[in-house]
Amino acid sequence: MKVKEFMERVGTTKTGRAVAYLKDAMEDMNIYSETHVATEKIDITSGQRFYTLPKTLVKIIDLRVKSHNNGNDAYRSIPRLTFEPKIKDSDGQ
Amino acid sequence: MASDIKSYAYYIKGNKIALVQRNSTDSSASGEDYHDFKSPTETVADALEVQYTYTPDYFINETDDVDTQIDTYVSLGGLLKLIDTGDNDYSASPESLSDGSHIVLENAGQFNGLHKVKDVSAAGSIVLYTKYSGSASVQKAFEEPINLYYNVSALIDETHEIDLSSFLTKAAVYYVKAKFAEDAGNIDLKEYFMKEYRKILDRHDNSKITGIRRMSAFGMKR
Repeated sequence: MKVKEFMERVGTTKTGRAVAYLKDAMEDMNIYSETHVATEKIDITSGQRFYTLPKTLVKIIDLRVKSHNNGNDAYRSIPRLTFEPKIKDSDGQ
Repeated sequence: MASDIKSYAYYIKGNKIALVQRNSTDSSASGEDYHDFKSPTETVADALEVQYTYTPDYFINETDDVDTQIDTYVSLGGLLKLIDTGDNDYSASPESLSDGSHIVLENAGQFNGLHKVKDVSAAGSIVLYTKYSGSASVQKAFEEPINLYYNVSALIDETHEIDLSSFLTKAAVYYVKAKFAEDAGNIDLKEYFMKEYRKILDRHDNSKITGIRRMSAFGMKR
């Protein structure tokens, strides 16, 4: 469906607001229902703790790391810590 | 004695992932912090895989219309400048980019997604309207070859084809109606439309699950 037809269904002629709210709707859907999913692979660097998330990210579904708890280079989900570890890192900002 | 198998965990710090490795899986670990977590001890390419949802505010018209020659980036006056060290002219065919064109980047880490072009140089660079704070002189290399899709449609006007199923588009209609009702101060109407919106989303999610539903505590073991 094109935006023009969408606006007719909503009953508005205000393109700017309709497009802005449509983007909000799609963002909300992806928080609530996961309609569009992507995967990104990032290099792990020795001694580096913090990694920047993709700017388009709305919600993290899963984080997997190569060789986590296995010896055959398989990607496995890693757990989230509820507390920050005692050993700090110098690259933390 | 430390094991050869690594064990990782993460936590979120602002807009970044903090990745940590269990100290006991580092061969040099010892002492009182043996069982604690610390920063990764090895460099491994493509080792962290992030699966996430995104807002589909663009549509790639043809996936064959892709360039893979961009290899580095810098900051130019606070804007992101992509550079092909091979000096491809992006203002010429087939890319034919100019001020106002849209591109989509893939495998570009934090820069994944839709971008608007500000300026194109014949000497192999593209300046985007995307904000980026970094060095203007030291070029940073992308971790892997990026895909630059130049035949894309952005959600900016009435001609754009919305990248949603017809069922979910109905939900979006209710959402936008709710927002307009809220703007008009009609909160009852807004709540009604939001209820309808949630109802369609629930039906959409439930439509993918057939048969009886079982619950398992297996996921708790991770």
